[in-house]
Amino acid sequence: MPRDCKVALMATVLVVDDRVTNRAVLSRLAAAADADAEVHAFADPREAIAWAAEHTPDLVVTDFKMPHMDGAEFTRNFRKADRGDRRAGP
Amino acid sequence: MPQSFLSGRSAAGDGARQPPLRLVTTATVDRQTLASLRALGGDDAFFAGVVDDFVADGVTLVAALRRAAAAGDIAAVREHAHALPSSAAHVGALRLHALARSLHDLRPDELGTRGGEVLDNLALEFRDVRRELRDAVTRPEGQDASS
Repeated sequence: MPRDCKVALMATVLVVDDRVTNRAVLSRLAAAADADAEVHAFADPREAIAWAAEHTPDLVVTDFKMPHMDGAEFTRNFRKADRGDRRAGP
Repeated sequence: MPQSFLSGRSAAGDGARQPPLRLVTTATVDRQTLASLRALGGDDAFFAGVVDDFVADGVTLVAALRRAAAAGDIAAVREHAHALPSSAAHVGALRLHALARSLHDLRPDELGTRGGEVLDNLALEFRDVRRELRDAVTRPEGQDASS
C-alpha cells in the first residue's frame, strides 16, 4: 500500500440488550468513542443474529439475560452466523 | 425512602434473618451520573429520550413485578427484578438499583415473607426517581452537579 494512501477505518458496533435505556446509553457510548463508528442496536437477540449473518461487526456488546436466548446462546449462534472473515472472539 | 428497609430491619422489628442489605445513603438520583448522561448525549433530546424510555420501562417492570408477586411466581419476580438494576444505574438511580438487586437476591422463603415489603419500597423509590428525573429534564443544563 502506498505510504500516502489513507484507509478509512469505520468501526461497526453491534449492541444487543432488551432494555431500551441500556441500548440507548450503550449505543451513544459506542458512537462517542469513535465519531465514525456505525452502531447497530437490537432488543431481540434473534434479530441481531439475522443481522450478523450479513454483516461483520468489529465489536459486539451484549446483555446476558435476555428473552429468547441468553448471552451464552447468543454468542454460540453469533459464531455460527460468522461468515469466516472476522477475527476470533473471546 | 422507608428507613426500615435501608437499615436492614424488617417492618415488624423481628429478629429474623435479613437479606444482605447495604446501608445506602445516596441521593435518589446521583447528580454526577445525570451530568455525565447529559454530556454523553450532547443534546437535551438524548437526555430527555433516555429519561422517557427509562420511566416507561420502569412503569412496565414495576407493574410486572406486582403481578408476579401477587401470583407467587418467584421466577418472574427475579426475572423482572433483574431487568431493572442496569437501567437504574445508567440514570443514576442508585438506591433503586440496590433495591432491585435486593429483591432479586431474596431467597424463595424470603420472597414470601418480605417480598411485598421490599416491592413496596421499590415502587416508592421508583416514584421518587421518576419525579426527580422529570425535574431534571426540565432543569437547565448545569444545575445537575450543584443541586
